[in-house]
Amino acid sequence: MRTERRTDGGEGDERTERALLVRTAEGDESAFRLLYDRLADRVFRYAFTLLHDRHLAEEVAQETMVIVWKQAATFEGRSKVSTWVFGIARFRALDLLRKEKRGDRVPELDLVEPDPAPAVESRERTLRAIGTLPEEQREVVFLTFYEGRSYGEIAGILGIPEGTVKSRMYYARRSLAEALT
Amino acid sequence: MNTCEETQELIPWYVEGRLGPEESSAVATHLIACAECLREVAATVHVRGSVRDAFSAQPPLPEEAWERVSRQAMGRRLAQLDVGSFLVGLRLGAWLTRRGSPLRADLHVLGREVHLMNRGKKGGAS
Repeated sequence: MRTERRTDGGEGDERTERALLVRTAEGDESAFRLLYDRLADRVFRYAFTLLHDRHLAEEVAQETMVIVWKQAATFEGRSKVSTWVFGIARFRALDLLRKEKRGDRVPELDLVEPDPAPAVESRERTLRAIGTLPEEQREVVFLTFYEGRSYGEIAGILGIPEGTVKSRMYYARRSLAEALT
Repeated sequence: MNTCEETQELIPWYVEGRLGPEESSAVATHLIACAECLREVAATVHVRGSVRDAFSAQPPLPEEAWERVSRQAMGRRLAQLDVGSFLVGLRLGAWLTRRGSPLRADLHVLGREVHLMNRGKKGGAS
């Protein structure tokens, strides 16, 4: 199954998500469901990029959304709602990696079922290339090219300077260009 | 004018359309005069396309995840009473959560839900 879910980074999206978060903080379950529909799959994909394990990524996505429900009222509005949520997911994912000491695991490479079709072969090659990147470069690639986030937003999620985001992306892009051309 | 190094650092977000007007214009100005950086843009467009395609092809979060999240977050429904019709209706419910048994009331109008009350959850009534 293919999913094209990217944020447009627009103000409309952010306004909607803030409104949903406010209602979630008041205990409105239907608002939480809408927020879940907008964010949970993206959080899952981000966690998968970090963990390379579907079950753990699912766990992180679920935990993150439960935290969003419980702590919606603590959101201070200093960033986008999705930036806040991705920050929670990142913290949970890295915590899981530390606890399970999975930091040095070899990433799963069979991420797509084997299929001789050229498009699938090409995807597998891309996923292998992404899998060889260091974790800190991998997440920047995901947040830029899948989530469509600016380097400033990524710096916010990762809690690092913008210059570091740019340099991680610079090296990731070079490695990927080399592997994919 | 930007140097090649400055330009190449910004190319991913230039390609993505996520630079501010000033930075975007500086990159564009540099690209007019620099064939090497222009080649980098072409290579990045190719990488971006492949990466987006590969990430998009990944299976999504399973539907059942919502059930687990809602159970953990909102608890298990103990009882629910629906009064009215599809046009206008009132739903009263009691839930079991780790923090107690909150009561909820929602008004349904033409299939849309209007939240009326949530007593005993997330710090009290709303």
